[in-house]
Amino acid sequence: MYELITHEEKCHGCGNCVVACPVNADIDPAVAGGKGPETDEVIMRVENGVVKILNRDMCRGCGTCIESCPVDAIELKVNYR
Amino acid sequence: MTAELLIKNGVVYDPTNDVDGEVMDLCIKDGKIVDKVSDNAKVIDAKGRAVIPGKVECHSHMVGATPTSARILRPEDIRVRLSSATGVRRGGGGRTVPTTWEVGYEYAKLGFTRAYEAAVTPLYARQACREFDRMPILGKGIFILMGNNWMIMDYLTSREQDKITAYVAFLLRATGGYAVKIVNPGGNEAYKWNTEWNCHHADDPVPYFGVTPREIIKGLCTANEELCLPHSIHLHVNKIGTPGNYEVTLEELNITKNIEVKCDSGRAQNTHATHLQYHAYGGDSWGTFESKADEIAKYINHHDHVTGDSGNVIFGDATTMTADSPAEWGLYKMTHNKLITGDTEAEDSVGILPFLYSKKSPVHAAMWAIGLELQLLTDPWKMFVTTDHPNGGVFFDYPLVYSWLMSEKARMDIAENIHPWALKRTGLGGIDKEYTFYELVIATSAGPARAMGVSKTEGHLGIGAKANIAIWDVNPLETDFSRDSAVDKLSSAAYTIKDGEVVVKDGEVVCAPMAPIERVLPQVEHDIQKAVEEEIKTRFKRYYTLQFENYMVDPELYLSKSDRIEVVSGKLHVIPHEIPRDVET
Ligand code: SF4
Ligand code: SF4
Ligand SMILES: [Zn+2]
Ligand SMILES: [Zn+2]
Repeated sequence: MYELITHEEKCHGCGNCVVACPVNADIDPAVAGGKGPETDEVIMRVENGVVKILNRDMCRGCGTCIESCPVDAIELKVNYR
Repeated sequence: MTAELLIKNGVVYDPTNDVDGEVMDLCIKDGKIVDKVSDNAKVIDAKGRAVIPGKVECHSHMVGATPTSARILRPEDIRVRLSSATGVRRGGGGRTVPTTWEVGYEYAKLGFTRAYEAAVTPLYARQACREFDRMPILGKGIFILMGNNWMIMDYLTSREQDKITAYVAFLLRATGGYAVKIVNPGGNEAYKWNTEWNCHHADDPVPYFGVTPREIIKGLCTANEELCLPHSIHLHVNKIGTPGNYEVTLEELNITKNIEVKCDSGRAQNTHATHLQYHAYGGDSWGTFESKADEIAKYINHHDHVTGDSGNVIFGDATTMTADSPAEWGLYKMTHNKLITGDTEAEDSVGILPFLYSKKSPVHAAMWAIGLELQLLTDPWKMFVTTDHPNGGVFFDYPLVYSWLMSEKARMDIAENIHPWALKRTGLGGIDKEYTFYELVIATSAGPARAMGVSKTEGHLGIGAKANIAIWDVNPLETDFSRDSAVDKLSSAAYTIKDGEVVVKDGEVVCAPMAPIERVLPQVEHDIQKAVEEEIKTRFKRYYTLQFENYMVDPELYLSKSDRIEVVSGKLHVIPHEIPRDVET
């Protein structure tokens, strides 16, 4: 299984991960258009300049957010069982 | 202040009122033509001079994001023509992409009193409004690009014509637009996915949308007529500049044949097809390239639902600019000239490339001839003189085109000294028609005024018309234009009068008032308008980089000097930006 984790001390709040995430884009048209989410029903968003995970269990593990983060502040941990 | 003017003994040409070279007086009061003026009126002696209604430019690229980008792409352009400030004129310059103020002055010198910007995407309408606010003398309006718009294609897919109509109304209101423009329907969208893609004919579906150019043209024409807009749809058909494209042109002109014209603006057409020279080619390769101008002319002469403009080519330096970016990409691959190619979000695309029309090129020589052939063979009430400025040539050079139309000798002098294809691959050599001065006035003033939907007040000199007038130092009754070059005689107006005010005298700009932008404010039923606006808002979030709230062009900020044309149950009402001062009180 995978788990989405963030390293808040590294995050500089660019929001790349928020708009890159296909799940977010599907939920909120504003995200699809490259803008900030207008709902809490997304996986993560930037709050006070730092990424915050709101709905971890909605993550489908595609890894797009990790690709888009310039500072390795978001990570997908894979738990082999 | 009551400004009165008397133009005495002019040789008047007013085709709308069947006046063909009659010596008569014109009286002007408060910017309008009236039946008499007082003895205090200022007199202009027009004895032996031609008096015509101000010319109307129905298709030109002069303001907005595209010409502005072209100015940046071509810094050399301003070096070829610089003009310094005078007491009246601001300094400026440029030839293919002149500065905004210059465009107004120079058109006025050629006797124009009105011009339309032919291609503006809604996103960049602000820029066009701002520039138009700084273009003196000319009356003006903006065509809004809609032929590759995602919302429109979505509504076509779901077959919701009423929503297309409501969305067209919304776009025109949101942008300060005057008319609906369609460029290479669907093809520009295809190009944005893959530079080698395009829509090649009326039934070639747009990738990922599935709708066809035919459906786009039909849907927008239907919307245009349901909204009773003053102008018809303004259409640049598919397959520009390719051998054999005349069949696509005829096919697409035929699409709107049965759509009823519903407008009281005076126009008879439901489709204006632009720069048809570029769409009148036969053959199946550049080797077999030939003119089919006769076919296009025949079609238009026999069908009242279409008008067109010529899109003449003039040899020399031009700047091609169009929303038809696949065409520009084709030119780029041919010339490797510098290119701008752009994607305007969910709306359309753009391409800009400097281009040289050479007398030695077989294709260019034939294009030159095709433009003239088309104009000479078509009824001037249905075919207007343009160069699609600055695509085929620059508007400064219009007098050259006039001279070729008015003199067989003038055009044969050129034809015999350029590549032989000018005569071998076209029918120009067999045409002995020469335009009369009267016909030239039709094709440059009365005709375009009617097609643009302003003929009630412009393009003629009857009582009540706006006093937009050009006077020339030539008496056509005594001049044989087939021998005496029109270039010398028609290059600068003796007088240009805009709304009763002398703006050009002896070829010099003497006064440069600012005329308003005209924009239409069509209405649809409240419920459908609300529904569409809600839907647009959601799609906006998904498709656009900016917020819906920032999309609308603020009328206070950008359109304070605009005349609003309201359409109320099919009737047009013009609401001037300023209530005219009451002269009695
Ligand atoms: S891994 Fe994929 S689904 Fe999960 S948060 Fe990142 S982008 Fe979204
Ligand atoms: S986690 Fe990375 S991509 Fe996301 S906001 Fe922070 S810095 Fe940007
Ligand atoms: Zn065009
Ligand atoms: Zn054009």
